[in-house]
Amino acid sequence: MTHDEIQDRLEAYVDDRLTREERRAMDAHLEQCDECRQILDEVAPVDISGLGPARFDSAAMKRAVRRSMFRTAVNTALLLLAAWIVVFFLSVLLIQPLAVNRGDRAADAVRMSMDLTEMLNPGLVLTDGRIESGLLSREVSLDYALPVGAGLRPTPGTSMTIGLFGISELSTADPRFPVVDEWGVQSEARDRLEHLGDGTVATVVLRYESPLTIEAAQQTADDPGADVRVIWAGFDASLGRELGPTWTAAGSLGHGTCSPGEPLPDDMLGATSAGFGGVNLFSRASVDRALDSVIAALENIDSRPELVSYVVRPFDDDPGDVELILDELRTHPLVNALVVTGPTPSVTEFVTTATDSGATAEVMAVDLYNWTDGLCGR
Amino acid sequence: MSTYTRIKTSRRLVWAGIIVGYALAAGVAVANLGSEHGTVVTALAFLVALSLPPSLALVSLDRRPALLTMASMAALVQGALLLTSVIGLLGLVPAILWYLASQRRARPAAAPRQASWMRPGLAAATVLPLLVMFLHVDPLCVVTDSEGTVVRSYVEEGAPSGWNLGLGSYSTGSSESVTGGATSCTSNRIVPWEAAVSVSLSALYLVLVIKLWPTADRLPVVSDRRV
Repeated sequence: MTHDEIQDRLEAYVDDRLTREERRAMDAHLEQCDECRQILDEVAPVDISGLGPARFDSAAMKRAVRRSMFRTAVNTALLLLAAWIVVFFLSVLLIQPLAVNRGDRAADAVRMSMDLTEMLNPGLVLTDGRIESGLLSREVSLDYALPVGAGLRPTPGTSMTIGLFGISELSTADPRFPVVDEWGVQSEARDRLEHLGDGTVATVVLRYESPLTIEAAQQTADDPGADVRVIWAGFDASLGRELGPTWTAAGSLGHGTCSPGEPLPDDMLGATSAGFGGVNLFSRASVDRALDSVIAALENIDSRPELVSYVVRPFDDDPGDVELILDELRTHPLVNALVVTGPTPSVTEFVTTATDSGATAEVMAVDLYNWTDGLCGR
Repeated sequence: MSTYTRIKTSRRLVWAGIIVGYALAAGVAVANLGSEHGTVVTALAFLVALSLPPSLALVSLDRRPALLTMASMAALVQGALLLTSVIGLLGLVPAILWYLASQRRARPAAAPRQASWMRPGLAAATVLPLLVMFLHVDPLCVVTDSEGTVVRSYVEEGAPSGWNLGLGSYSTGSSESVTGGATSCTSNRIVPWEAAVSVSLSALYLVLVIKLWPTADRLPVVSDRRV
C-alpha cells in the first residue's frame, strides 16, 4: 500500500471499515509515518467522508426524531431494568441478613439442631462447620465425628437451610448411633453380624402389644445369666417417607403437625420440611420432651454399649425390607432380639409381619412419637 | 493522546478482555470437569457458553465495532448471573475492559439501525445457554444397594422434575435400609441433553450474529446517519 493509498484510507481506518490485511498494512505504515499519524489526528474527530451539499431533508428530520424518541424509550427501559437489578441485589444483600437473623428464631433452630445431634451422640466431636450464603438463603452445615479407638470416625452431618422464607430444610442423616455409618452393601452388614460375640443365648422379651420401656428391657438384659444382643431396628422413617424420601431425625423427634388454622404454639421454633415437601412445626417443649425420653432410653443402652450392635432402618413403603430384615436376623444364630421404635404404620406392619412369620425374635415398640399432643391450638 | 494511540490502546483493551474472558471460560470448564458431577460434555457446555462474550469481542474486531458494546453487555449479564460466586466478579473484568475500549474510540462505532434494541436483547440472550442447563430439573438419584451402586432416574425415586423457573436446586440426604442401601438425589447435575442443547444454542447464536450483524463497510458512514 502506497503512502497516498494509506492517506485515502484513514477515514475507513478510524471507522473500522478495513479488512484485517488492510488494517495490518495501515498499522505497519502508521507506526513509521509521522505525517500520516498527524493527518489521522486531524481527520479523526471530524467525519468528512459523508459530507455532501448542504440541504434540508424534512423526511430525514422526521426519521431522525422518531429514531431519537425510540432510542430514548429503549434507554429508559434499560435504565429501569438496570435499576430493578440494582434494587433486587441490594434487597437481597441488605434484607437477607436482617430477615434471616430476625429475632433469635433462626439461631434457636440451628442451636436446637446442634443440640439434637450432640445430645444423642455422647462423645460427639464437631469437626467442621460451614455457613454458605446463597442469594436467598444460608446453609449451615455441621460435620461430626465420633471417637472410635484411637481416631475419629466421621458421621453423617447436619445441614440446615435458612432463608428469607423461613427455615426451609433441616436434614440430619441419622448421626445418633455409632454403629450407623458408611456400611453400604449387604455383605458389609453381614460382616458386622459376624463380629458379634460368641455365646449369645439370652432372649429379651419385648412385646409390642403392651409396650415396655427400655428400662424394662434393660432389666431383663441385666440378668447375669444372659448375654444379650439387642438388634436396634432404629427409628422409623415413616414421617419422612410420608413427606418425601428424605428421612430426618428432627422430623421424627418431637414434631407437631398443626392443622391449618390452628394457632401455633407460643414457643414454636420454626418450621422444617423433610424431603420434597411437607412442613413440621417444632416447639421447644415438644423437642425437649422428645429428647428427654430418647436420652433416657439411650443412656440405658449406652451403659451396655455391647447391646447396640447393628442398626437397620426399614423403608416404610417397602414390605420387602421387613422380610429382608427378618431373613437376616433369622438366619444368624447370634441374633435374638429386636427393638423397633415408633408406633407408625410401617412399624406396625413390621411387627405384624415379624409375628406372623414366627420370628424367634420378639419385638418391642417404644413410642417416640406424639409428644406434641395438645400443643397445637394452645 | 494522538488518535493513533487511542486506537491502539482501544485494541489492546479489547484483546486483554478477550484473553480474560476465554481464561475465565476455560477455568470454569476445568473446575466443572474436576467436580463430582462434571463430565466432558458439561465442561464443554460451560466453556462454549461462557466463551460467547469474548467470541463476540473477537468478531467485533473484524469490521463490526458496534458488537463490542454488545460483548460488554453480554459479559455483564453473564457476570451478574455468576455473581453468586466470587468467580462472577472476574466475569465483570472483560465487561469493563470492553466498555473502556469502546469509550476510547476515535469516532462512534458504526452500527446498524436496530442496534439500540438488538444489542441489549442479544446480550441478554447469551445467558440462554447457561439457563438451559439449570432451568430444567432432572434430578438423578444414586441408589446403593446389595447389588452395588446404580443411578436411577427421578421418576423411579418420585422426585419432582420438569421446568423450574426458580433457579433452585435441591438434594436429599441418604437413607440407609436393611439392605445397606443409601439413596441420594440431587438436581444439580447437568444431564447430557441439557449440555448438548446448551452447546448447540451457543453455536447457533454465534453463527447468527456473524451472519446477520452487518460489517461496517456495508453500513452507511457515520455522517450519513446524522442530520
